[in-house]
Amino acid sequence: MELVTELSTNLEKRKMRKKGAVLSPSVFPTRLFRWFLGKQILTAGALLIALDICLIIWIEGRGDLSQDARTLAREVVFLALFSSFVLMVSVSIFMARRLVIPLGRLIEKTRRLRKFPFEEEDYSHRELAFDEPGEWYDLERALNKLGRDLRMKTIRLSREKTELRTIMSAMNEAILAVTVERKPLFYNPEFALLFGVENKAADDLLISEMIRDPAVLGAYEKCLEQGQSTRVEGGLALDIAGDSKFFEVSISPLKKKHNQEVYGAVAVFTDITDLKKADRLRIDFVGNVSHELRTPLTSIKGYLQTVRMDIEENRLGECSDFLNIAEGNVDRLKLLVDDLLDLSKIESGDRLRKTVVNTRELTEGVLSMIESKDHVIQMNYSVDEFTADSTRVEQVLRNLLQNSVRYVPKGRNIWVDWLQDQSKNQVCLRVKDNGPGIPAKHHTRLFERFYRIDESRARDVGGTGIGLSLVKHIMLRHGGNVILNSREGEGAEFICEFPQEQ
Amino acid sequence: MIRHVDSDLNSLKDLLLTMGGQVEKSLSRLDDSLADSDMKSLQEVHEFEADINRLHLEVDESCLVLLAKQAPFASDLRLVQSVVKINTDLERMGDLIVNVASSAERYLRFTVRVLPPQWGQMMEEVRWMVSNSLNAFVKLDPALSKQVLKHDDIVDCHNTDLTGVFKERMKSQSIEIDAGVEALAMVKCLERLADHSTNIAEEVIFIVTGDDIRHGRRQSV
Repeated sequence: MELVTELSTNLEKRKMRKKGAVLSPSVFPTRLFRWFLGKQILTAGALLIALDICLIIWIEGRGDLSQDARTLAREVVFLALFSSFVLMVSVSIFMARRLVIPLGRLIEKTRRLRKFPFEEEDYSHRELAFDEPGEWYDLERALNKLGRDLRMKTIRLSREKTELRTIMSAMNEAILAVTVERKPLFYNPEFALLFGVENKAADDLLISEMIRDPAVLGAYEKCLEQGQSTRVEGGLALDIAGDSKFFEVSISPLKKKHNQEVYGAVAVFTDITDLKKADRLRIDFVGNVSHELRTPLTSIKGYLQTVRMDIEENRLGECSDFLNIAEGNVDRLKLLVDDLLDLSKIESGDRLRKTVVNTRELTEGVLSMIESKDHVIQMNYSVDEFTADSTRVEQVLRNLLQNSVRYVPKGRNIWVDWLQDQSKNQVCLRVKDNGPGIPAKHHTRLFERFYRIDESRARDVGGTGIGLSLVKHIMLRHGGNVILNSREGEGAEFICEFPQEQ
Repeated sequence: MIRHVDSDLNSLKDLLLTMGGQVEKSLSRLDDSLADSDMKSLQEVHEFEADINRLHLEVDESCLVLLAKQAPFASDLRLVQSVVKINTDLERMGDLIVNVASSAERYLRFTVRVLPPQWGQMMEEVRWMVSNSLNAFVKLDPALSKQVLKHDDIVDCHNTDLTGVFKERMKSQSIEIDAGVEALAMVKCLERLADHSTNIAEEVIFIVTGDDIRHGRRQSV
């Protein structure tokens, strides 16, 4: 640079000494061209641009310059061009460092921000190391912060989504959300299972393809229109794989946070089948127990009133018979209360008094208590003795035999078998008859207390109504079970299994 | 690719299935009412008829608009054609359920109120057929449709049995002639309900395969 300045100064001095020297930028390229062609007219110039400083050098002559001056001029021009090139490269590198590289890096970062999932990559170590404050520095810091925030929120959102999905999968309730256009928004696996929804995206389904019940559809409409939670009156009854199921359905609106606009509704289907069954059992139980208690009481009251009237009118002839009937009903009531107390004891975990039970003695003792002249009872003793609570075993046999005697028509057979089941190490008591049998629909409820096959009780066969319930609970307390095999018209077979210790 | 016609077809299916739901519900209400011999509940069956008739008109109009605007072809055309027919079937089913309810109201006025056990079995079969013919339409499932067709034979057997039972009861004068006539009308309506379900099942097979199996036809169209 110093050389150029010196040269420029010398040339300027020489040029000023010469008259007619012309300084004209407009002719600069032409004259330069001529000079390189070896013509007399010589013009040289260079443009140096650096940091907003412009230095222009003209060398011009009319052919009377010396050879040294020409050589010098060539060197100057060459130097000027070289300097310009170096300067331009320097400026380019500087600009690249200042503009292009940071910009490229920012673009790369922005591209990466668009990629999901964020949790797989941590961007904190990728922040640019701009030491000097400036626009790029601020911009990059802002972008880094944005990236970090976005990543954190995405991770949180992803976790919440996973948690929500897990909760929805674990729920026993079925859930279906729909849009205002009555298109499904989402549903949980339980809903898909219960309502037989095939593995389709929610968008591809119609709500009516899943639920056609007008009450539920109407409740959805109401909820979407009014924006208020609602319940489906009477619930929803469904037949799922042959089983009747009842659901309580509550529907709540989905609202946008900022303007409370309703954009959908979510329904929760709670399975209340067991509740319904329990409620029916409760109703049946109350009805049955009141019947069982009231029948003998009414009878007792009626006969006692008759006896009182007879005594008042001094007609004592039939009083004894009436009192006998009343006494019979009192016995029946006592039996009922005793059975109820027994059942209560067994249910509350009363300890069994296990002893060695002689099957022959026990059976004969029970038979002596039962009036069974009209039936042929056959016994078979494959087992002589086993361990159990003899009082409870006696109750089991007595109840089963009483039932057979009551329901099997006169003249038919009843079999009592004591069997050894070696494979399961248990003793089995089998009471079998060739009576009318028990229809399959009653099998599941037969061991409920006060359950009667003949609901109308058109035929009073006696009994307290809790005999079989007592049998079942006694067997469960022994760690065994009672099995019923029966078909309508083909007799009934009760097998009581008494597990034995090794 | 989302087609505009798909959206219209979905709306049409939605309307038809909503109508099907009304038919199912009214049949269910009829069954419960008869099981409990509940006259009040029987009258509620009539309330479904208005909605079914309204939906019948809506579905018809939607079909016409879709045919005029979208000019569907191939399976779409078969679907629209079948929807028109299923719509008619469902409307008739609604009417038949009301007929059963009306006959049942008159039947229950007589002293003998207990329906024979075969009635419950037949009703169960018919409800299964109605429900599953609509399920077959939802899933476009020809296999399920064929099952529905098979169940029609069971309903026919129940129909024969029940008709015989009521004839016997009338002959033996265990029920009044008027009650017997109403009961026979109820059985006939129930049998017709099953027939309409088979029509729906046949339409589903037509939509999916293009085979017209009505009246014993099996060859491809």
